[in-house]
Amino acid sequence: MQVHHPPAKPVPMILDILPDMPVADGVCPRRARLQIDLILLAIEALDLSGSEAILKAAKDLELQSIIKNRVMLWRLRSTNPFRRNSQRRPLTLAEGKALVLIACNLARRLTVLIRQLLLAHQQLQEKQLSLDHHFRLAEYLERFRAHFRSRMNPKRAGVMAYDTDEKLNELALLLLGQLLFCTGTSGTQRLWSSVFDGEVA
Amino acid sequence: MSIQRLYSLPNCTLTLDGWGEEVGLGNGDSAGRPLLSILTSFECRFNGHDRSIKGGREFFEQLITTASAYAQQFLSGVPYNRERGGSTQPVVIEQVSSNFHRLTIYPQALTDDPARTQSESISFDLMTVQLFDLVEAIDQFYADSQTIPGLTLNLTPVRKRQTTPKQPLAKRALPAALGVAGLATAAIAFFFVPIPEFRPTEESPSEAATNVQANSTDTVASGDNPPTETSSDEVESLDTGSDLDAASDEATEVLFNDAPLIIEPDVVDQLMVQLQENLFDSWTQEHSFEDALIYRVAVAENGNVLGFKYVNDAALARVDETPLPDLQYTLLDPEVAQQEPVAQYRVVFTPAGAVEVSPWHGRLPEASAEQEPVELGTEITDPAQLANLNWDLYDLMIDGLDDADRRSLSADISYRVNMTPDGVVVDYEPLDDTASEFLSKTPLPALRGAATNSDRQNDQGQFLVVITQDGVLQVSPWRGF
Repeated sequence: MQVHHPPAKPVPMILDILPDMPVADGVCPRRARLQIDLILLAIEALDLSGSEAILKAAKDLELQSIIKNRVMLWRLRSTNPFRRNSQRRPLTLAEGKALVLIACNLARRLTVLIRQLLLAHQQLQEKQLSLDHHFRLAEYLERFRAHFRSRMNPKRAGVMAYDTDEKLNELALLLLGQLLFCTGTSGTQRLWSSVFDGEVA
Repeated sequence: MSIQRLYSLPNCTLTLDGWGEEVGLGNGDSAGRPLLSILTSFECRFNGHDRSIKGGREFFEQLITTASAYAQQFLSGVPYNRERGGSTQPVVIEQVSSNFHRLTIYPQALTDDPARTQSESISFDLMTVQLFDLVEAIDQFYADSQTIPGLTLNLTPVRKRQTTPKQPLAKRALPAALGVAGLATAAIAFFFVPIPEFRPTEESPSEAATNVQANSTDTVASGDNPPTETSSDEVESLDTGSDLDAASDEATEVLFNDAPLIIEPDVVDQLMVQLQENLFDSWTQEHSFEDALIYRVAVAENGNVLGFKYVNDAALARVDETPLPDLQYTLLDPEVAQQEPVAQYRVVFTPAGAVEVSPWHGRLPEASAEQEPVELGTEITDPAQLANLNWDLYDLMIDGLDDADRRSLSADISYRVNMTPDGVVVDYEPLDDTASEFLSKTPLPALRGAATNSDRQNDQGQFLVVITQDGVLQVSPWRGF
């Protein structure tokens, strides 16, 4: 059996702004692990220094006791069942909260860009132009596709569902809209609550 | 004193007008910013739309609750079932396309609001950014402790039972029953198939089961036992030459042949329930297959799916329509596969959308399985007859339950109960662990004990009996009224 919790360490206070969810085993359900990692993937596609930024945010938010280095971050994110090297370890609620706090912190910093890209998408649709008519949007989509393909296991049915550029673009645009909701006054609480939708008894 | 509050975002402006109750109380924190405690009217205006939304407090609460719930749905993709009492909701938001959301107001549906005199419904097509600005204006209002402090953001995840069913409710109730009982999970999909028997010393009467045995490469101690559950449909879909291996993968072969087996009945049962729930919950793929898909699945002690093999052709062809590839952890190293103890299950995905799970190696005979199988009657479907029986069963149950016991529960418990037209209880099945423990405190064992063989051959209606954690007894026909 795996040990579900690391030896007792002080839990960062900031985690208390998010409630513990009443889930079985006290760990993040599958959909939560998937969604949190995808949200972070979208952030990395928006921001060239995304993965550095994630570690920096962990430090800024004083979450280093949970995410102390790159390897730990990779382990947590690899609890996403779509990953090539999906980890057979649980994602604890504290770890899930830490990733959500980081994602929303970064999303907030990218608010202007996120809004610009969503409006650009809107305008392209109105003019019936393809997505590559907007340089910055096309760049985001291309990077998202590259990140997704290089990290997700193509043998999984869930991943196979995104086997074309069009489908991956749709996913990237959906995540962009979701990221916008992460930037709001209660964005962190909203994202945290949403990953447990349909999972609590 | 009249007070106005403005929450202004690039695409949406929310204006609240009202009165302060405690003027001049001189609260230090709120100096210069009085408390707006009574809302008289609000206005919500979107950029690019000429019309605005205006109304009173009831309307405002409907708007902010709906917008907040919709935002959660947009984030999670889990639709929230808003069916409450069947009445029309005054505020509805629907997704029109990936980037458009339609906000529709039905003022007539308001019960106590100045706006209800407007008879016309209004729609606004909002872009995601506009919708977000509405939600953000609302969140800023929620976070503002000086404006109607009684209204605060209450975010709770959608509960399992609130999600919009993928299928009619009656069908969704089925899988829970299957996992726990472990025996004829088919009893639900195929209704009155008798409980399968386990006879280690006899040749299985089912040709199909024999095929499976022949195809099985088991070398473990209990490997001689063929799977014990057979149901007519499953039998047909099994085909001798079709034990198609997933076996391009060496690790999978090792896993099924050499990995130590988990045999403790409790653990096997627990993992089975877990697997059933896991598969059912994860089964979001569109599916359109006509033959049941049958797999042999290996599960680790922590419930992870380590590998699966195809038992019939359809299972291979349609594997993408099941959650299995998604749930499987990729095992790359045969050595590792050899060491991890696993429990093996037979998993059947039925075209009707049920997931049936049973132990691959069968299970130990239980006392009840010693009885001769009895020809069972047909299912009662007449709604009037079911309604009558429903009340009979309710009375039988409520009479036989001790009030104190009933109120001692800490969780909802459920049973499936079969009843004849004469009101005789002929069969039942606890649908969860607590229900099994509580069984002796119900009249069900005594009631079934009174049934005769001819009762068992009579027609039967099937019912769902729930005792809630508050001690409330609920009885309903299994397939709904």
